Amino acid sequence: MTALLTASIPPAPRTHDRFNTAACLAVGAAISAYCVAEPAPLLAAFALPVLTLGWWLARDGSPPLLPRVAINVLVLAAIARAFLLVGGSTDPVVSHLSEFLVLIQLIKLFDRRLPRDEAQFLSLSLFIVIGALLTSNSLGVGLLLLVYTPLATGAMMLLQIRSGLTRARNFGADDDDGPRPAFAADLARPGPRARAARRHFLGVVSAAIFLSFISAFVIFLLTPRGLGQDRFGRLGQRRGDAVIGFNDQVNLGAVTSLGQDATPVMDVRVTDERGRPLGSNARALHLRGAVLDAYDPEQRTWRPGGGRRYGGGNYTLAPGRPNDIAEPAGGRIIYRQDVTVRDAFAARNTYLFAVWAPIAVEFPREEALSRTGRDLVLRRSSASNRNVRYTVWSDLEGAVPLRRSRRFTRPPVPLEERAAPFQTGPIRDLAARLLADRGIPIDPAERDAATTRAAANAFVEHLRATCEYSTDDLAAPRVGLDPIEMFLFETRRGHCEYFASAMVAMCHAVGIDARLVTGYLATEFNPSTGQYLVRQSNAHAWAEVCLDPEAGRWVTMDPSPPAALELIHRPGTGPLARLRRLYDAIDFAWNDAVVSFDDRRRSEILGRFIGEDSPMAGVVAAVRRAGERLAASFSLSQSGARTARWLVLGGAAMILTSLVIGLRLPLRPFRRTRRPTAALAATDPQLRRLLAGVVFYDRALDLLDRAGLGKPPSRPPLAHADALAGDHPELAATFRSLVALYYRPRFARVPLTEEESAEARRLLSRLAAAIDALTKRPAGASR
Amino acid sequence: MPVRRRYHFHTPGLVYVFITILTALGAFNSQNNLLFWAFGFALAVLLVSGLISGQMLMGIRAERTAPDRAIVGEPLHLSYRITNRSRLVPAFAIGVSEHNPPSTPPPPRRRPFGRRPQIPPRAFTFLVHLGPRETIDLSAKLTPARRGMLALSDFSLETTFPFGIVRKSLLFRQPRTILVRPRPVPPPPDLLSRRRAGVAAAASSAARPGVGEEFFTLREYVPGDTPRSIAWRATARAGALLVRQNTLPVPRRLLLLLRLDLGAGEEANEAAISLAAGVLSAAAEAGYELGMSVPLCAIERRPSAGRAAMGRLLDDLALIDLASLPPRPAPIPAAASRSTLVVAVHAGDVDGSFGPHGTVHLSAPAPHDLPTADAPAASVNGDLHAPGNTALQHGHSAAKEGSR
Repeated sequence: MTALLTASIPPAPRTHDRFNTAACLAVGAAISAYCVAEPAPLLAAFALPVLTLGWWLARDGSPPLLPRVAINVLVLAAIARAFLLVGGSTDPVVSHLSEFLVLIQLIKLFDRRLPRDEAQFLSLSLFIVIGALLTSNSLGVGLLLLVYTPLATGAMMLLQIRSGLTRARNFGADDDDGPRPAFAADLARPGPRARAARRHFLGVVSAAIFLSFISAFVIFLLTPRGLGQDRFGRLGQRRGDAVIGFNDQVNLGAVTSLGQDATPVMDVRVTDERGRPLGSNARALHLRGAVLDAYDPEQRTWRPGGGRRYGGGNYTLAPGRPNDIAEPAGGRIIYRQDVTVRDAFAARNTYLFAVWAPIAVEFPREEALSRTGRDLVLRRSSASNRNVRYTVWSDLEGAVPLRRSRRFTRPPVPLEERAAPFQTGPIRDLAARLLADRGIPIDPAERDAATTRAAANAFVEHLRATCEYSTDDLAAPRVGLDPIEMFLFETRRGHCEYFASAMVAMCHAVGIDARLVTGYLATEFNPSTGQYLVRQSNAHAWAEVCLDPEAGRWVTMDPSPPAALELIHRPGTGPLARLRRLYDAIDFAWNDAVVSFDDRRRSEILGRFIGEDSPMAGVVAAVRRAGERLAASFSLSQSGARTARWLVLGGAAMILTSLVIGLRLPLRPFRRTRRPTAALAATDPQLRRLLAGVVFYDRALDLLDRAGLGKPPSRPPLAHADALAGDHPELAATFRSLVALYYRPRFARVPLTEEESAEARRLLSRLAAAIDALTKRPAGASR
Repeated sequence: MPVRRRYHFHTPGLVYVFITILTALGAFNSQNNLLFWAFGFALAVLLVSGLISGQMLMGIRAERTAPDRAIVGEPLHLSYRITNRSRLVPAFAIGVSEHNPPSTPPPPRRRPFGRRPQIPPRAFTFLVHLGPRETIDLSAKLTPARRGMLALSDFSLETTFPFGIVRKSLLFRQPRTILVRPRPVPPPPDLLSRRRAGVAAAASSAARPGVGEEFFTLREYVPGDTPRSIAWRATARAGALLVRQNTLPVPRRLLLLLRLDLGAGEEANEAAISLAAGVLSAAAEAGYELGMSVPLCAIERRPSAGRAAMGRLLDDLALIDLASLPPRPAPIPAAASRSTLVVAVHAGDVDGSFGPHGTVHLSAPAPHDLPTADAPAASVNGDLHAPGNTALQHGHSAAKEGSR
């Protein structure tokens, strides 16, 4: 059934109000996403209130406008700032570009004169979102992206309606003669007609978002992974290998204050050989990262290998299967650890964490590792990947590294050399006394594995009995006093690094090979996910002791008091802790399902829905092959990649700036006057010739426009003069005279004489003077 | 049925495609899954945009109606009846544009490699929303700038909904012509109060019996005659009933003589035509029977009454083609009846010999003599130089044409 409808013109401010709200919310979500990704709290504290102010001022349908000069100055200042930051900072270019875009977005908030400006205002937010995605894939960014998408979708749809209404009014749609054009009910008006329109609009928005999400999911699934990585170098990555929480150097000489950052860094699922899950809050896992076995008394720092690496080498793991790296010592207790490293941590860390002793490693894709031979420290060659998921098999009884390369056969730094700082002195005396008290031989040649273990246990017992575990601020030791000696003999108080350092020092002092290990202590087991959640605050240090140098058998020994460790690392039980765990579980699901989505999982999912013999499988395989061919043909050298990166970023920045913000020079001689009358004469050559001489009329309109007295497109010129007469009689009279001269060529099709042209110029000058006087009038003066 | 459906990829769409490609490059370079999502979403939006706009316009039908006549400088309202035949899909943000005829030459480029300026549509209106199975009437204003035949050919329905990436259009071809009459320029106010010299007041009556007010003759009474018409004195003298018979009233007549002059230029001729239209309109309002003679165009219309006659005369004026006027001098029209007011409108200088004796001569304005709306024309020595203006009589209505 059709219904014949005729409706009235909707008021423009309502549509604009809805669009303004949706657009500002979308932009706010985009800016928030970037500030969460970076993180940039100061930028958020500045940008969001400014955005709120801009939204509030634009509620009545007329967005606040800054003068063009001010806009140009602000844009130039933002560009200069961006160049200075790019040149003087080590942060990635993407960060600076995104920050620049945020500033431009805020400037554009006060430069929305036309529907085209509104579209640019909305488009800028898309670039900011891309910048946020390049910087971080955290759950917060993902949630804000979910908020941004429907808002931007709805705002863009409203913009199409608003643009059309504006254009219709420019064609005189709101004149009061004749029947009005019927627009149908505006979306924001009351009434059943408008309600139906709103219902339809929301339906279309919902359908568009739903279809887009479904299509995006399919495209996401079909897109092959692992192709073309780092072709343009690294974008959005922080430079340097700074680590957070976990540290691969122990500096005992600095004033330390341990924070309690509860940010999750990884999730670990532990199973036995048969796949049975292992894990409970009662079972803590020592996930080793870095091994430090050489102490520099000068720097008071533990470092790996005494500054020299020994053994091992760099090699590439084959993807998708276990790669053996060591021979299991016993082979009876094998732990399989499936580790998922969180996004932010993976971008800053290259160590692979696992319990001692790792014997095999599997990565879902090709990965380059650097591995030291004796201590089986596993490190990726770069921290560029965000989707870090790996599996390590560990033999709890120990392992012997496989001899894979010539470099492995290089002898390690001798124990005597590494233990030299402790061969004499009070630490040696203490260690010797402890062994003597227990009847354990001091000479290493007289000890076997059992007595070596007994010796190590003696040291552990002594530390636990005499020293207090504390994470409070610890003062730096005075000059000349070694921090370990200070801990053992004076303060008797310290955190895990001191306990582990003292343990290793005492072992070295009596000829027992030991090493300090830094990593994480996983104590928080989530039964619902079956995984250990490891946080920054779980960073820990302990020792590993070599019981049998011949067999290369090492065991983990943690001298820190268990009661203190439980107190510190025990997961909370209150409501906040439960909320935190819920959030962490959601965050893990986000990481697992989205951030860490890789080709293996992609193949699994596709395999469930697409049979091997189906045509769709052929399509998927063809897409993959095409991608591989394209990636193989598009290979760049390092310098070429850098050049291409700069070209792409620079080109994008230039195009962006030129499209979005056009610098309008305020210099009058170079400024082209608008010629709206030219459009009228597009199809009439005679009229075009006549109107070529009436630039004065367009300039008059320009002057009025800049003074805020612009003529609406639908109002006739003389009617506008009448409208101005009430408040500005002199100005109106001058404008009326100009219009009278304009009408001669325009409607009578008679060219102006020389006298009339001169009169037009005089009238234009008089109009400009009247406007100048008007704008310079002091505030509060009557008009 | 629409003639043509098209997708237009304009600048916003190209920018969007560029952004999508950048996103794809970023995704593959960084293997960032959220960027893969963003790329997938961007591509999906492109597809969904085309799907929604296509589905929206698939069920749209439109029909245009327009008046047969229009007047220069006064907006005419084109009406569009738009129907959404779809059962499910509503339509949003549809612009209706009336295009220029295909023969319209494109405007020249201002710079050697610059973009050619776009010709704006002649008329435009906008539809915010049309639900499924609904019909709506829209109207758009079109202000003709020239008299003559205004050809309407194509109009299109366009939308950039939902995302402004792609513009889809439906082109409808419904040829139609509208006759645009000249804008009537008011003659001097006292024109119709003047009479041709020698025209007797009694010539307002014809020498035939009728129902006028003047005595014609006496006749015998016949049943049915009103008793008021009985002439009692004559009856008494004659001894039989006699009734008064009056004359047939002769309506006032005006004959317009339009003298066009190729040498005076197009502007002057157009001004004369407009002034002629003004004279005819004023006379019609005053109840005159109207006739017109344009010797150069071989137009001869006897005076007749009624709106239809008036319309025919205005149509004749509208159809005068100045480009095809023969270059021969116009013959002097024949004398009109004594009861007819003859007004001659001259495009150039007044030729007193044009028209019979007693003709009132009007001249279209000299280029330097344009009056304002407040200044009426002045008469000079019985020959009225009516400063008719094609546009400036009423500033508001004159400026309706595009409002510039």
